[in-house]
Amino acid sequence: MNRLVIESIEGRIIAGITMFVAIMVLIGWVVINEPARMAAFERQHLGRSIERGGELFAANCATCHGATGLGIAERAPALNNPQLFGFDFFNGVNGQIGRLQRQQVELNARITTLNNQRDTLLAEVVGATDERRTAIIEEVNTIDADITALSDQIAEIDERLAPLLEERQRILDAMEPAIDRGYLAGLEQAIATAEAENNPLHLTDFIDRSANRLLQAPWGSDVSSFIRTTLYHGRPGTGDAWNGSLMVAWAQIAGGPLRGDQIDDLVNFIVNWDRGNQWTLEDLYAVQQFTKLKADAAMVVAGPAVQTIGAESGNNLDVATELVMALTGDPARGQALYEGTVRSASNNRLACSSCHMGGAQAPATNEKWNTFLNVRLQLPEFAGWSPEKYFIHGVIYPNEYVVPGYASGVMPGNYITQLSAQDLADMLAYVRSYAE
Amino acid sequence: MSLLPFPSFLDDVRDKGLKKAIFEGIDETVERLTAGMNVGDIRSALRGDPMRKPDPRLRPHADGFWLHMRPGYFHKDMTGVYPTFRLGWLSTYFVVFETITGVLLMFWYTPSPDIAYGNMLNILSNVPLGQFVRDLHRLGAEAMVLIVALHMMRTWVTGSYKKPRQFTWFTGVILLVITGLLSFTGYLLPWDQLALWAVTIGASMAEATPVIGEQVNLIVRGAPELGANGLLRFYLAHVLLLPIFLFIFTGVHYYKVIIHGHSLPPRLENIGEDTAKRVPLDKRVYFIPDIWTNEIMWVGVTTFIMVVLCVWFYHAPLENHADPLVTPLGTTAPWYFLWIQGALKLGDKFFWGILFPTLAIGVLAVMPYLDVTKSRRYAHRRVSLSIAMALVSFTTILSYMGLPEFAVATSAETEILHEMTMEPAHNHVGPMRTVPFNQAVAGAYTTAQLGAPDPRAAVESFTAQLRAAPFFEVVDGVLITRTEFDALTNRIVTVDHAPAMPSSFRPVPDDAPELLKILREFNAKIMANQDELPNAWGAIIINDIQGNLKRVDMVISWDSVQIEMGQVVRDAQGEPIFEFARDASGEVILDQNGNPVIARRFYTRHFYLHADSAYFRH
Repeated sequence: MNRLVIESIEGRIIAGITMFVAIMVLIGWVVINEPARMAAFERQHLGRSIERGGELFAANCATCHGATGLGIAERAPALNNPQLFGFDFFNGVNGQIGRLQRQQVELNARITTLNNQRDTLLAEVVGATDERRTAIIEEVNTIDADITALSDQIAEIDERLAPLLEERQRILDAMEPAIDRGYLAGLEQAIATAEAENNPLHLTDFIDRSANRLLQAPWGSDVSSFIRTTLYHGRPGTGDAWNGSLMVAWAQIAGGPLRGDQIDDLVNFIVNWDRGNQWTLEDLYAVQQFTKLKADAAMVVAGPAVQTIGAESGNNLDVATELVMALTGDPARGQALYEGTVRSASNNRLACSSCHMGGAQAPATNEKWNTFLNVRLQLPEFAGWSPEKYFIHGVIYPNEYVVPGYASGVMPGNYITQLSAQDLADMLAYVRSYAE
Repeated sequence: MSLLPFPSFLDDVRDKGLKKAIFEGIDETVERLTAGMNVGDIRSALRGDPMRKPDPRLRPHADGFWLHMRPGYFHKDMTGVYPTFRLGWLSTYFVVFETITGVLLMFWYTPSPDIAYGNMLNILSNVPLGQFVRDLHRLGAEAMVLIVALHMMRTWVTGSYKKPRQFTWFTGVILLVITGLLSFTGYLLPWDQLALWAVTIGASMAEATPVIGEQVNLIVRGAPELGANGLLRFYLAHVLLLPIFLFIFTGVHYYKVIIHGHSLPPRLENIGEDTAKRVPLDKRVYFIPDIWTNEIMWVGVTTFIMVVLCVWFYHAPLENHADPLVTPLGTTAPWYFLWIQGALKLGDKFFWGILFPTLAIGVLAVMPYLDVTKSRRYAHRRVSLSIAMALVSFTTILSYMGLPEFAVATSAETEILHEMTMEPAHNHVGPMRTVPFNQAVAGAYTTAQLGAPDPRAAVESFTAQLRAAPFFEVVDGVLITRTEFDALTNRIVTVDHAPAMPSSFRPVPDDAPELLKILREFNAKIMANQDELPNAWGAIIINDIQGNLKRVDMVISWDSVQIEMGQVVRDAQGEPIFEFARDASGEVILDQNGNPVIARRFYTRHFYLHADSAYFRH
């Protein structure tokens, strides 16, 4: 072994050259395959990013936005939501209506101009020479012919509009369950305004804008950046629309808990809900909560006049308790009220479950009847109270007693003016059903 | 006459003719560039012709910069594989190799926790040959640690550290330490979980320094925990500080080789003699051309091997983004520091983490000054060679002890579900992640179906049993009694935030054989831990989340037994002692016959599975 491995210098030179050529060939082969490999890596990495995003969503976001991203009534809007991705359920029909209505607006404007010209000419007739009068009449006749032609065009457009409007109405009717949950919020108002101002385009534009979250916001960039910005910085100023529950800043750089790469994962996960052109009305119905815009006083519609528990009881807890106890409660409706799927007597959605679930924001209410009996009513301040009275007290005077460990003043104090005795009886029946 | 004030090429042309002037010009240039060999000399050297006197092949070594670091000729008995095994040469090869690949990577890297990991992804997804160069650098780093250590062992075995090469050995030990530190500092730079936690463990020794532990820790990590400052420090140490020392000591190390020559195989010399510098004429192998061509050839061969390995057999790991809040189970230091991690398990952090490694390396460094025996012959060095072998064995055993398998007690349920669901790390991935996406069919599956003649009946009776069995849990100071099924649903949905729990279990569909296989594997792991997990069942619950994303929840439920130090506590008869269900006031709950009810427990883990994430078993 005490020799060079390849003894002859020619052998070494040939071996060395062979090796270098082989290296170049191998690297060349790697280079040829690089684009495919890089693309595969990107796909794989996006997949894993979405996985981590799903995990982060379940841990941080699901409590408010729902485990399946469909939103929770009165708590937070859906993200698994065609509105967020701007899917057009009208399949272009509303857009076509808009174009035609815009043409009509233009034609009407031209008719107005012609009418004005006509009025000016006719004003000249008095005191004009015969020659001039003939000329004027001739001109007016021409204008009349033009106006008739334009009116014909408008009528023709009306004819083309009719089936489109019908189609749009059909789609709007089909959307009813979603509209009831807040989709196209303000639609009734927009219809009223359009009628009052005789401006059908107002409604068309409203629908265009409201069906797409980015136009509604309005947001000047794409959906990923909309989500990312919201995650980074939260949504200041929307607390009053959401009963005080706030979208906080989630990014570390904005004072939140998540790193930039985790925000990326979340964005990738949320955007992965986009079904492209595969969204269906069923998906729209599944949405539990749509975006709520900041309360606009002009858009608040007065609900029916109801006898609320506050008014009926004269703001007296014992009277209220007696009133409620005299009624028979329906636990199913109580649960629906609790979850926000039906409205209270005053036409409000309560959605108690938004906060009273899991015990994170507010004490969990399920399985708590026994807690009332065994824990709370043992406290000196509730000596001699019935659990029913404790429950009603907790709903209509929420901040007089706050369970230790929870912040005071969080639960809205206006249920006394929103609930009827029957509402309370139903809810009581629901909560009591846990005792069995 | 020249137009210029000094003789020009044109003068030469006029005096000698064009051809001669050109050839002489080239000849002269080559002689200057090679510091002493003209074209004719190079040609003669390559052909093996007799050289003119004085031998021009030695002049580049005497007068040139590059070759003054290399001997003009080698002893014939030093040019083969034995006795050097080319390990010293390979070490230097890797210094150059790592420098080149490292500089290429530096173009794409920023040492900041905010973007370092993004840079890694970019290198892997957007930089042509990025992954390849990263693989080369990482593999080269690991190889270099190994090669340098082997080089040291070889020097020990052949006794080459003995007089006059004591100081060469000393600088070699310094180079060994620098190599380890280089590899270690580089480990952190990808800023993934593997990097953060391996380095956190490695750096935790700093705290154990007596008196100034806190200060040392702050200096090393830049803050109490590794963060932006720590990453920057490790980066600067990796690309600047340590390479500077590496190059300086490599220079000293090489210079000493020139001064003392390569030590000959022990049998060729009389005891106590060192004849390396007196190479007889017939034993000389000149650097030019033999060693030189040989080394270039070896550069080709070694690089080729590295390229082949990185194209087909090795890819540098990259785990998830570093997260200081999530410690992965089974974290270890880099393999070359495992021996310290193993030693730490023996006891005191200061003694085993600081004193022991320092002493070990210190004794190694001064060994030539302690072992002053003259003979380098193997037969005369039985004690020394035995110590060397003992050292290798001891390090291997300590390294084994550094593995998480050794003396780290993790409860069986944690271990099983971690094994089943773990993210890819250390070339291993949880088998449940490798289920083909289309076989991860939504539903709830249970190990109860396995081994039953009719899986459907078995699963139905299992569901019925869960719906009947009471489950006691104290939540918020209130005892909640419900069925085991409801408790499971509550656990999965309310606590773990799964979207839903199916209303009943179902057998694994026939077209999901991989899922069934993994359910079997899961069951086997539970069965292997029956001591700790008596009457256990496992469940896999799969939910559809998005069109291409599923969620997998895995559950183990078992009768709770008392465990101390990872061992089941047994009574005098050798029966395990069960834990009993208790109410809010801590009283044991009794069944209708007045017997205490054994506490049932759940352990869950979950992960998300995307159609494109392409997990596969290594």
